[in-house]
Amino acid sequence: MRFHAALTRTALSRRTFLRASGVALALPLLDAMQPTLADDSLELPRRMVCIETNMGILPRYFFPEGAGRDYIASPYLERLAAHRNQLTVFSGVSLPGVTGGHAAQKCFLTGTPHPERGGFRNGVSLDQLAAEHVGNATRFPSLVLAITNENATLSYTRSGAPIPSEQSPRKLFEKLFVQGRPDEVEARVEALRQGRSTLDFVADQSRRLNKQLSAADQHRLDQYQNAVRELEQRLHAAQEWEYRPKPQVEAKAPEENNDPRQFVERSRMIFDVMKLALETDSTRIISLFIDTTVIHNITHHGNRPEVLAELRGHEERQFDALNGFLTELSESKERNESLLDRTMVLYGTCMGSANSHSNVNLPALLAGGGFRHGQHLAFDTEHNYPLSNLYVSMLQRLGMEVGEFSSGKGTMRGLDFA
Amino acid sequence: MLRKSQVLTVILFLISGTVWGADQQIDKFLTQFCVDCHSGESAPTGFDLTKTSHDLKQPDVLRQWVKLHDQVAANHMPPKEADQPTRAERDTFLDSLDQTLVAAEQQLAQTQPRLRRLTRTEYENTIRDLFDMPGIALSGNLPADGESHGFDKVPEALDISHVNIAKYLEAADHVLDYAIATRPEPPAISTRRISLVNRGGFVAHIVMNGDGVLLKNGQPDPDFPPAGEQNHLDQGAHERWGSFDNGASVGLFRHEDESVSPYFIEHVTIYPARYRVRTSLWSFGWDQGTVLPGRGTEAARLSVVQLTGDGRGGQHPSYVLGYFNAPVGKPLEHEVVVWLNHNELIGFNTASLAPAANYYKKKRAMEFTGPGIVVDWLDIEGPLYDEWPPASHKLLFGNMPLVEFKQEEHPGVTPPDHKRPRQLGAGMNRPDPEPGIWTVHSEDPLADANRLLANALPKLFRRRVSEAVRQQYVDIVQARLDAGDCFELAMRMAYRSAMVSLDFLYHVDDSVPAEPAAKPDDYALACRLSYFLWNSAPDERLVQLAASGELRRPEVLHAEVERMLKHPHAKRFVDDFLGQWLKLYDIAATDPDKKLYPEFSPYLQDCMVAETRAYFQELLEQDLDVSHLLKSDFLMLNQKLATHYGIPDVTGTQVRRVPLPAECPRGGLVTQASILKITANGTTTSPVPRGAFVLDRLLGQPPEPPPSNVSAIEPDVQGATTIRDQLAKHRDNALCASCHQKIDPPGFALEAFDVIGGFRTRYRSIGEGDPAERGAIDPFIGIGFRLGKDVDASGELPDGQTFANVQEFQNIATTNSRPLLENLAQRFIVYSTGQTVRFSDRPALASIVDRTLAQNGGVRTLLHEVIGSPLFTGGLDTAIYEKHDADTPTITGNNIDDQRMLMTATLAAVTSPALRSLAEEQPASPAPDYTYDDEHSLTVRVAGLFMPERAEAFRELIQRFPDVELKSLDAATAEATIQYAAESGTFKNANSDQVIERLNNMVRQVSTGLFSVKPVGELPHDQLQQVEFDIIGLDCKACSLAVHDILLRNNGVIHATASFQDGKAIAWIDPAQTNHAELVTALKKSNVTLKEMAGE
Repeated sequence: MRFHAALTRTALSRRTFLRASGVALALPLLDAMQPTLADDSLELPRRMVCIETNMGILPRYFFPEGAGRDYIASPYLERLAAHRNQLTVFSGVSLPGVTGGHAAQKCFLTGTPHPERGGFRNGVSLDQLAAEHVGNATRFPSLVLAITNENATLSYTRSGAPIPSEQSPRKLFEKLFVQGRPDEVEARVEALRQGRSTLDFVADQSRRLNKQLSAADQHRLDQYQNAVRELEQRLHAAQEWEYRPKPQVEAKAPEENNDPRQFVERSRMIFDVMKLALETDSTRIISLFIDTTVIHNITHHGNRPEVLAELRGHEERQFDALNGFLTELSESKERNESLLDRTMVLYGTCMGSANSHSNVNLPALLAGGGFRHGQHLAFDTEHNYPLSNLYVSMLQRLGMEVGEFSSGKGTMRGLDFA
Repeated sequence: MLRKSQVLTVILFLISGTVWGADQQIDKFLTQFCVDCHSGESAPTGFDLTKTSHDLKQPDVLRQWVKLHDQVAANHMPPKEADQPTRAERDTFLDSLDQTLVAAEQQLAQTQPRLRRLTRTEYENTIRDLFDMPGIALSGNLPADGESHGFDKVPEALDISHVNIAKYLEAADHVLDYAIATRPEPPAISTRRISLVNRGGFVAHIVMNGDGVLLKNGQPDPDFPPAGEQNHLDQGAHERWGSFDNGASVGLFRHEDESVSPYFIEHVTIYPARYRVRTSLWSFGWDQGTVLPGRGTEAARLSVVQLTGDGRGGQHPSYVLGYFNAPVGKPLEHEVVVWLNHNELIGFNTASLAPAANYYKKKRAMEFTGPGIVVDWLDIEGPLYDEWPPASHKLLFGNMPLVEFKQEEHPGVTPPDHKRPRQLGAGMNRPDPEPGIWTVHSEDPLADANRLLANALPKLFRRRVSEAVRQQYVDIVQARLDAGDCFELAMRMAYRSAMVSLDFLYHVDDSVPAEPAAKPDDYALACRLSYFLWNSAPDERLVQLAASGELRRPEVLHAEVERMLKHPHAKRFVDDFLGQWLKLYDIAATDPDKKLYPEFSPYLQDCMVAETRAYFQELLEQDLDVSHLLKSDFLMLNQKLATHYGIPDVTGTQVRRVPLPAECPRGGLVTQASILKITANGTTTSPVPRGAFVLDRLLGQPPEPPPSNVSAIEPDVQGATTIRDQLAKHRDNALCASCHQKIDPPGFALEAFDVIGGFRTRYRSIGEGDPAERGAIDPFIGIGFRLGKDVDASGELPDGQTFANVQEFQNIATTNSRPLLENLAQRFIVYSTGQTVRFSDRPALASIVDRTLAQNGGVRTLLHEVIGSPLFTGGLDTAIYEKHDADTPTITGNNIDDQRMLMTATLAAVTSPALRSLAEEQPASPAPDYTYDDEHSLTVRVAGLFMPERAEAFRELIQRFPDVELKSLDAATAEATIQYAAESGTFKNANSDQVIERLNNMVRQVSTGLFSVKPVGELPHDQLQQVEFDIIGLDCKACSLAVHDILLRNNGVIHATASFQDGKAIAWIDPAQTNHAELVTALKKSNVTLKEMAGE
């Protein structure tokens, strides 16, 4: 993978550059509630929300009939009918090589094959790769969330280490909207300041070489200097964040709820805070793991009608909660667009059939975020299409110049930018 | 068709922006012999001379003309059937074109960068060596590097972005956190003997279920009989009982799989350092409860595992240490010294056993007959330091004294923020007490900073550092001191800056000039050498030789290469070079189909890699000639590989040299399982990728990529067709045939080997075919494949020579060593310099090859010749070696490692300070003389007296408390009368409830939960109802304890016993609160099986 510095080469000094390129810096410029609306010259940000439930979704009630735009909605998709034109549902997709039944849950955003094997090492998750690139624009590069009483997470670093998730909607709310102690702020600012000072220094050091280099080497040197400068700007932006008051919202902090059986209620609570986080542009990248292990035993329904009915009840309520989240996003306006127009919401699960622990034909959908939605992309259920290609599309939609991600070697066929 | 005159006008080459008129000779030749065919739509391979660019400033265009040159030079063009030029015509043309191309290239050289970033492997090794932290893990958190010309060492492929810089900052902080000493004395060395079956671990669980057994003196442990019809009850009871730490050995039948990852979890590393790890292993046979001699030496894997998250989930082996022999019956001790990072521990696997599990069998271990591997124990000792403060600290702070920092003595000074280690998981080793803030103290900070930086910066930058540059770093220190930082923090800031500077992160060459063919300066030469052979920074000796200018002297250079190859770091060269050249890094890229290749295992895969590394190492050490890439009369094998290859009498994990048996179709790299696996897709083989691999990687003649409109062959494993049938169309299509007649033949020869490198005469099939024989496949592996069509490994080379099998192919292919040498030399050059071999470098390359051939054609000689050549040293003033040194190569012993196969470098033993004895008990402080009286006495109910002899254990327990005395104990009612010392710290001012509560805490803690006490309750014992249960599978004491505990968990159960001797449990209950039926339900819910009772 090759990354391109977003900035072009320039002869300007760093300070001049900083002043001149305030736009590119995405410094926090504006007031809390609708930061980007105040300045029309700024492009509205793009965001990404990735949600996985870990006990499958009953395929018979999820997958629609017929492909393309005229598909007949399934019972679950009926629950999202209000957003039909803002979502694409997929079938015949899976993550190549990601097997192992339940073990696959940790690979939903990484696509790293064979989590069930001894010696498995995970890879970087979609959200974290995205956060490396767009995360600097906001106070929080990304939010890693989970509804679980275990230590589950969807997010992994480059070395495959799990990133601990925030599991309490209340603590999340406090983190987002309650001011930190001044001495803590000062400590963080000082760390950032020293980081910037280091970068200034090494940029100066590298200029020793300038005079004697060939054109080709000069280009390599420029690349280093640009990389240093861009990181310096990112730290500068982060430092500004520390001084800015956190956004004020009217909502009250949610109550704690640790009852695993109430995962739907807990989903609603965390969805509410997520919407506030996006609306206030506190972050643009969120991963959310919804642990539904409490219904594990009934997912092995064995086609018994009464068990299926019970499971369907739970899952319909989950889709109702998702529908509520999408509705909230679509009703929140930014200039002439809705928050949903600018926010990709990936919703899916790691098992095509929890009954048989199958990891193919994954139920998955993508809502919002600036794609030409309103369709059912039906791929081959015998030879699945890589879901990881969707991830490449999502990264590109965020503005990243990537051609591959994990097992995804190209963008998703049939899914175009709006 | 164009007329010839039109061509004349276009053969004008563009070089350096000006049109450079070509020699008439070029026009003439092309017009006369080439253009007739190579023009228009139908030009062969689409190469149309009338449309071909002549802008030689474009690297692609230049490459195309070089190719044209080579086609003519090799007599491939004009083709046999066309008009042929005379020898003179050909030579004249080639000379002219040669000059043109060389001139063009000199201009183009400007566009080849030389400023190269360290790869992430180089970065990690550099830190490891400079800081003497030989296992610190850094590369995994850095973005992956690009690749070009087959290696990650080419400047153009080593881009950098803000993401890299951010990660370098993180890495620098991480390194400095651990490099700087924070205490006056090293952390205490802990020596611990731990068991594989450990509290809360996987292994306890699977042993409970019959996938392993505990053994004492080579027989089943009487305290923990093997799980039979019933599995053992309640792991917790066994943990409290101590079943797992009673000194028994652990015999395992089960292989690591998705739900089992055995670790030695009782040591979780706190301090990153060297540790000495020792273990005792043997193998046995198990026959439904009886220990028998094993079937032969087995292999056990030790790995290093990093705990993540909360220490429970997310674990994975970080890397495999190696495979260790477990001989039959007799324990064998192994020892390695390893670097362990924070929160790392040692993992285990029964590598040579087939995947098998007993938990689902009715009689579990008592139904199983098969092999097992025994771990007697694992000793782990460390952290070990050669010196304190450690070398990492001394690099940064020399010998400056560490003193305790007291804030009141330094008002306004910011002290260092030392990280306190937090241990994940269930380690029994504990952090040392924190000694307060200890840090280096300086009386004259700026002078010290100057002195320390004068020592450290040249090491970090691998070259001389001017005073002016050093002063800039000293200025950082001054600025931070002025800002209120303590000396350590201020220095740290300077070092952190140095570690993110271009001088550290890049291969900087002070001579990197605008002119093309400049030679590297002496330091750059030292670096080139060390990053080549050690993949890391030069050591002190190399830097000194660079500083004195000695390094360029041929005999010095030669001696240094010899010295470096003998150093353990040379293994990095072998591993990294082969990893890329032969794609060994891709060994796990495909998974062999489980049905077709059930015998495949991760162990076999690691053996494959070890074979190829050992083989190349052998070529290097013995300076064997380069034809060995294709053919040899020996193999480098261990037992696993030998079995896989069908070669008898090789025992153990250690890879050693084995003579090639007559008629064995092996030898050379090409028949090694690693290469055969890498060039297959896990399910099927095709001669195309294999042939292409041989042409490209070994012979240096990479085939052209296939035309874009050709689709790949659909693999077939139904047994209906063979790949040869499918490829037949290549022969019939002239366009395909032009390339495939070259690509396919080596691949056809290698059709004799399957996707995991097994020899075959028939294809495996999951459809049609005959039943397959087991052959060398482990009898515990099920066979689901059949035998399909016959394999045909014959072929015909482009020059018409034919071969019937792989041996005949090898004989033909090794008649000319030159292409092999040329290719290997080029690979060495790209890998070591990051520069490709250009057209104008060909004479130098030819000279390397000539000189090597003139000696013996050996691989080590070739390496020396490459390093001695101007392509490496960059300077024409370096005299090439006059003669290969007469030294007979010595065997360094890297290959022949007794009783084990290491997958990673083991560290030299540490000269650790005298070990502190842990066994020495602290002298007990004399018990205070308390007085007891009846006033301070009470009666409690004791839980844990589940069998009569437990009463004695309870008495002993109470004796351990200095402030409590046992007056009486009635085992039948579990009532104990106890006197306590009211004046003791424990019971001072306590009321009777508090006394019982405190007593209970003491009892539980010291007995690890085996006993507890509570108030006796109101109902007299004779009014309690007695209920009985007959229980199946009450086989050991811990299970008795488990049943006792289950009963006592129910309200209304006042006392309970359970005996494995008669299989009975009895509960005394308050009939108002519970009854027999309720307790039966409770027992069943806890998976206790009751004997069927009459009438129920």
